[in-house]
Amino acid sequence: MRCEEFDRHAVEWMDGERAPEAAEHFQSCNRCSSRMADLALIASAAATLPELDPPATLWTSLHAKLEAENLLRPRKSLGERLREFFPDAPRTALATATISVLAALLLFLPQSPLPQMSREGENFSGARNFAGVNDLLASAEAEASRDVRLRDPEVVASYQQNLALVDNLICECQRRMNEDPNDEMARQYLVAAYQQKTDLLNALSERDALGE
Amino acid sequence: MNAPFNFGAAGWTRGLCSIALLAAAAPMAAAPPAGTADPAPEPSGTHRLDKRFTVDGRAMVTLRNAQGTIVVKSWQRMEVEILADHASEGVEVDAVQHGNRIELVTHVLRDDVSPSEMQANYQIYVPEETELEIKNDSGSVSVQQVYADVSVDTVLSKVELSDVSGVLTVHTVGGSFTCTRCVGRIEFMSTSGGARFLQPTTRSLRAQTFSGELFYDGQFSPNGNYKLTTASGPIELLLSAKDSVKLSVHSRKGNVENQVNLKPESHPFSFLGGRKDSSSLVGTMGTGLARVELTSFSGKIRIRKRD
Repeated sequence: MRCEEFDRHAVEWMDGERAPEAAEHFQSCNRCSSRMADLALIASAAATLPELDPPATLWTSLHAKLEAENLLRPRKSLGERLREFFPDAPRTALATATISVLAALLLFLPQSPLPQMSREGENFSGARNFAGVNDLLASAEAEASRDVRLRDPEVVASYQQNLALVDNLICECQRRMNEDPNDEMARQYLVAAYQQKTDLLNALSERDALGE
Repeated sequence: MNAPFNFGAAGWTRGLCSIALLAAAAPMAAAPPAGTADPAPEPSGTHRLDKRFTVDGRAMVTLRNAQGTIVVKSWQRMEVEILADHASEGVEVDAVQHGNRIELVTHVLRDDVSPSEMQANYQIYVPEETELEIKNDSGSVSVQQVYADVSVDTVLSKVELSDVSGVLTVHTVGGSFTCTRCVGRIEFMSTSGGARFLQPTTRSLRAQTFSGELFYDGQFSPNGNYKLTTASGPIELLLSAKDSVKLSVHSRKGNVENQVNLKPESHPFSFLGGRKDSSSLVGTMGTGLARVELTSFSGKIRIRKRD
């Protein structure tokens, strides 16, 4: 078996299905054994990522609007990052699939407000119209508030207070982005605040009275 | 609320935990032997569930409760003991075993149950290596000397983990979190709750809150990654001269106050560079083996000396 043929068996190999001829090649080929070790490392790293439970449709809709508003700036792909660490990274179907999955996971992970390097030459100019996103969130909040089944007013009040707190941050970040569309930190905190609000609204509507 | 994070198996965590817990166990040896716990007497006028389940391996206990005090302690027996008290007949406590998994739920039996009637308090004794998944909207959650993954999801509860190791995940809306001598991977997410990390042993700490306060007092593991992020809440970090950290500190609107000597580094965050309304600091202490990032939008960040 040649390396190219082994590459075609890589997916099955990583799934534990190891044909004798592939195993024979694996034993004798440094290149392929090294690539499989790299893939195992990637799979191991993937296993440590948070298991995602995308919050229903709200965040999906919101995400689309954020993209439309150009608020979700393209991030350096995981593939690019991995290639920095693994210049000769395997380019098998599994590697591609793994990287795609990881990239997708990163896209849907809570957008950390931690600063990232801005790209030179990027310019997000012009005041933004946040009305679409705000309308969507307001509508979701009204719906979540109608469906509250929590019995403890203290808990409900806590949700409301925390929603107000996140709203304040949203307003502040929107104001700053309107003043300076290139305010990267405001953009990242704004996205984080949107997601936090989404999570709170989902929690508010999902948390039911016990035993029902 | 966010889905509980599942980090999967973390081999390095186990190794780190074992070493740290051996050290931590020394003073515990002087304590009364586990397994001799004497539960508090049943308060009058309450309903008590007292159940004991035998397990034959790594146990998992899940608990879902609206409000009350949850205390979980370990003992040397391969048994899980549940002592649950509630005053109202409007709720009942279910405790069910499926193999090594014990599921505890406080059920509401009537529609007219008032918030105060929903309270149920739990004392739970578990084998040391017992995974815990606890949801308790309000009240408090305390976990002591449990050496497996712990997940707590709450709205208002005060959460305290002491001498606990594993993947530790705490999500609150407004509840506070205190993590004392915790070992392993630590994740805290909250909207307005604060967190205090006291003498942790971890290579991975991620704490994020919008308005709560974050406080860290402990050593830093080589190659560890520590990220503390707030929107408006303050962050305070204690550093000693023995620490080896690479520190990145940024606050968009708040102050950065530094009381330790850091070797300054060039600023890699170009988006902050030149902003008159931002405070930032990048520097190294020792050889910079651990990476520490403190970020806030408008909160104050303090870096103080630890004696």
